[in-house]
Amino acid sequence: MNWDAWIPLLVIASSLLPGLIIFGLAEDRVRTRTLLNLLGASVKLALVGWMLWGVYHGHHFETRLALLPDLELVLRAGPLSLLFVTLSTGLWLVTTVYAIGYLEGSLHRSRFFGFFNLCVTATVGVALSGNLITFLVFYELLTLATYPLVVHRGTEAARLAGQTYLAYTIFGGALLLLGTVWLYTLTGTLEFTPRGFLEGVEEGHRPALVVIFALLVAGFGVKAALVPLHGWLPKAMVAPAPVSALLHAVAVVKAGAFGIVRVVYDVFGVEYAAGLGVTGPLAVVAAVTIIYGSLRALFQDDLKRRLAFSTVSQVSYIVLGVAIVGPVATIGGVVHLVHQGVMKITLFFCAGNLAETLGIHKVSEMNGVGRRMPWTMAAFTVGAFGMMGAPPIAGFISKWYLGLGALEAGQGWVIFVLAGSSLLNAAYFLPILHAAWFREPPVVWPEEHDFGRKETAWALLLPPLITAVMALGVGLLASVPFSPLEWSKLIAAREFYRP
Amino acid sequence: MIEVTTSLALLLAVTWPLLLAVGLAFGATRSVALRLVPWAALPALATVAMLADTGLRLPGAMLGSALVLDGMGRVFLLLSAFLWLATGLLARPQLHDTGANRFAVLLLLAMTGAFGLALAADALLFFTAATLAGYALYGLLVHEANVSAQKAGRVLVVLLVVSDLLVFELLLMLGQAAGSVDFPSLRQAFVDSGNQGLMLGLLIIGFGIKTGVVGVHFWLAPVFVTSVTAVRPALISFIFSAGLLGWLRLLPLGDIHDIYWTGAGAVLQWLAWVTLGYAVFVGLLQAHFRSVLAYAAIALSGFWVATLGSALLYPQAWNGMAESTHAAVLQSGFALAALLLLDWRTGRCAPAWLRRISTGVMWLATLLLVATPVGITGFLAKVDGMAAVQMSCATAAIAFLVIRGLLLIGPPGQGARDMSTSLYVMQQPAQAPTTTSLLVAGGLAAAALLAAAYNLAGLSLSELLRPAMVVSAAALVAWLSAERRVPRLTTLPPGDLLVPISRGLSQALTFVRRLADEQLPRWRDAWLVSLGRPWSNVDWWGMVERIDFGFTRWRTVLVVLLLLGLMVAWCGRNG
Repeated sequence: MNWDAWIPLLVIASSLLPGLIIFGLAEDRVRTRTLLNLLGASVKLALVGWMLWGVYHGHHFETRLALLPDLELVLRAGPLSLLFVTLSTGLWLVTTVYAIGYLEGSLHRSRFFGFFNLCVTATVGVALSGNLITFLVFYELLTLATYPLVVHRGTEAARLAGQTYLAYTIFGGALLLLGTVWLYTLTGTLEFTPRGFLEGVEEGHRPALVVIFALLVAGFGVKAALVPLHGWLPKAMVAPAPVSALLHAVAVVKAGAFGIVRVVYDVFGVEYAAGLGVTGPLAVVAAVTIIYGSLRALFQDDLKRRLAFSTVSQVSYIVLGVAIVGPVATIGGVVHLVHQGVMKITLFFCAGNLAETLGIHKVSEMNGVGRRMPWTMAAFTVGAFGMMGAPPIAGFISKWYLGLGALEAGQGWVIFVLAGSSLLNAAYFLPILHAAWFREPPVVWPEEHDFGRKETAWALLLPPLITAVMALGVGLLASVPFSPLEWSKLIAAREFYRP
Repeated sequence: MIEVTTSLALLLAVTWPLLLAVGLAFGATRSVALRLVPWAALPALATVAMLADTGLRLPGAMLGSALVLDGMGRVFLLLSAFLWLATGLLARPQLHDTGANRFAVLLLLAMTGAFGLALAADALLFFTAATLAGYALYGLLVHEANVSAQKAGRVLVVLLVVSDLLVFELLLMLGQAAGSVDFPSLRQAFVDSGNQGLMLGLLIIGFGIKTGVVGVHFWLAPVFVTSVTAVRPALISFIFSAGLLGWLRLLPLGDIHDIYWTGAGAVLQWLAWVTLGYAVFVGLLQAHFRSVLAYAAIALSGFWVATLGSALLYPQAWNGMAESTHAAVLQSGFALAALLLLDWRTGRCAPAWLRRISTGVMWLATLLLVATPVGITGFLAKVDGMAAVQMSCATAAIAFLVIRGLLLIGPPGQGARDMSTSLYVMQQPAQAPTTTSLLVAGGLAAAALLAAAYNLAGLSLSELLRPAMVVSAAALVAWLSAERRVPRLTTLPPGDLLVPISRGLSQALTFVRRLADEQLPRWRDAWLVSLGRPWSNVDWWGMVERIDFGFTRWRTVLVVLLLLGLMVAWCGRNG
């Protein structure tokens, strides 16, 4: 293998090795553990930056490892995989800093960070997968790596949440395996190919392809929290805030949505899928999920559950953009992968801060919290307005392109879905902001921890501020070169449509 | 070098308040930034005064934006800059009070939005500025506010959300048709599109929420009544810049001669009649002066709708009307803001000279507000008599409402009267006006006077005579209705339609909440139980054991083998 072929493996290894080492560290080896975490995250970011530069200059990063005769594990860096891996890696570093601060003094930190690193390993593997079997392998590794994080607290609620999570994801994994094997028997290949690899399949197999599409989408739809496969996500909120941030913004739901994107574009090809008649129902499922998630969020008093249902709704924007079938909608859906990630992680970081600093877990406990924790709530405000689609924050750009794409594709009904969702987003975010900034605070907070003159610990405050600035920046500077939007335009033009 | 300086000046006009807001975030710069807040509008004012028409491209901003200082933008920037300067000066008590930092940040964000609205060269930047201005204004309204103000703010924010949604849909449709988001392209797309009816509806309602068009007007009166003095000029700036300017930027005024747009112009004129009539009728039933002013503002919005309708009906007249419109914007904006600031009661304790000056400023502002439609009326009289009559009715409506409202306050020093037998409102406890508010109001009235001079400059004495007669007649009727013991039918609360809408919404929300929290989970649980009941009675393990036992008998095995053989034979037969 040449040097370029090693890079994807090194990206995987940069979190795998520290993770394995951390498992063996004693609990009191705080500095070593912190150093390994930060080093691994930094090295990974540097390697991803190297890949970005290389791909831009025409380098080809691909690793092939024989798995079975005629089946290889393939890691490949293309524009779409780099978008996801950059998002994951960048937010990973921030989440690592946050998790170090959040779990200070907690039990079982070595176990936590060990699986934390395994989780990012699996996520990056998903992002860099060059074929469906590699995707499947890392996808299932992700399930196994995240389960211990969900049950980390060891409470009865955590155990039940973990049980639910496993039940859903194993079921989804089974559907995926069935779909993948069936597809392989029909086509003899699983290699991700721009515009799909099913053009040569016989006409008689079209019904089978429709079923395979349903199996694959259902399999990925579990992690992507498509209704009615979303039930695990709100329950998993019992996990610590860094895990929630991970699940919702970086790893699990993104892996599911990313899988659907891969299936539609690199397995079936969007035009072939449209010809099969599967994109319409997919759009309807996404639309139902968007509205259902927002409706459920409206009636949640638990802050993290409200954000969880918001995630259920928001991730389906990605699926909707993919299902609308059009270059502009593709841009909207793909760029929302990034935008939703930075906005949602900001919100979860802030929710974690409120819980850790003041013992706030419910929306009804947030009166006047903006006066006590102004920076945290400022970051939350940016994330919330972004979710509502208010310009110039990132969410507006996604909605703009989704709306334009819908009109371009003659799917005007999508505009109503976007409008309804925006209305509901405003309905469940604006009261939080009003209560936080303009209501009188209570005499005593539920469980206040003293941080001296500081609002909260720096390790807890900096990450949401950074991600809030990112959410504002990628929206305000959407047209600068190498922005997520420009990258998405490149993906739409280069990978999905014939010139 | 000159170009760079010009570009920087243009950028600074919008970003200076934002920079101050950033300065407030850090302890080292906070005190300096706080001191500069009242004067934050000066760079914008300097831009209006010193820069020629110019533009600045911002290619990396959002989807590629630009700032532009053109004729229309200059008028609205001038209006906003003056009003925000007034707000800054009046806000000094809040800047030394509880939550000063929060108030200052909100003020600066709203100011940034207001200036961005005037200088935006494309629809997305305009929309961004409107969103920022709207939500920040909401924050200013509910900052340290009482329950009434919080309720009024809630109404505003709900309508802001609806307005933003409608405008977003409109911009999507126009943007998709135009392939671009700059205003000239969007106006052309408006003309060429096949969906003009829907787009026009979205435009009128979307921006009409902000100007107070009837049907979506009911936030105005509660907000006018409950807002603190400092925020009132900012409110006027928002109504004009986020509402009226949106119409002016997006409607293809003067550009097209098309039967569709002629029809649209007629529809707008009918909407103007409805708005005027409604404003007068409901304004008559208000008991608070600022509430009456709100309905005068609604009548004013009817006047703007009539102006737009006339411009669509007579596109050839728009070029001439445009300058009168710009002058009318300044005149009415300053006059309305001055009146809003002068709503206090002078008591016996105030010096006589102060009472005389304040009364004089109040009547001057009233006259200037009432005279707003005169310039355009004079122009339209040469084109179409009916349109001129409509403008005259707008003049009369505003005059009647405001003069009657002023008379309802009562002469200075008068005691309270029994509300049930009189049209006089119960006198508020006497309070002395602050020198600042009087000075600011006087300054705004003077600015309105200058605008009026420009507005009316081109009219002859005979052309001024008709509006003078209309105003006099309206004033007479207002005085008669105030003086005579005309039985009052009822008093409506500020916001009129808000009361039944709130009640209906509250009941609907209660129903939905009960459905979501109690009914649906109950149905779901019952359904799951009924689904599971037949299966829960099944002895699964016993069934497995029976099947297992069956396989120990030769008969069962032979039957199974036979069936398998038949299946294989069948599959083999079909190749």
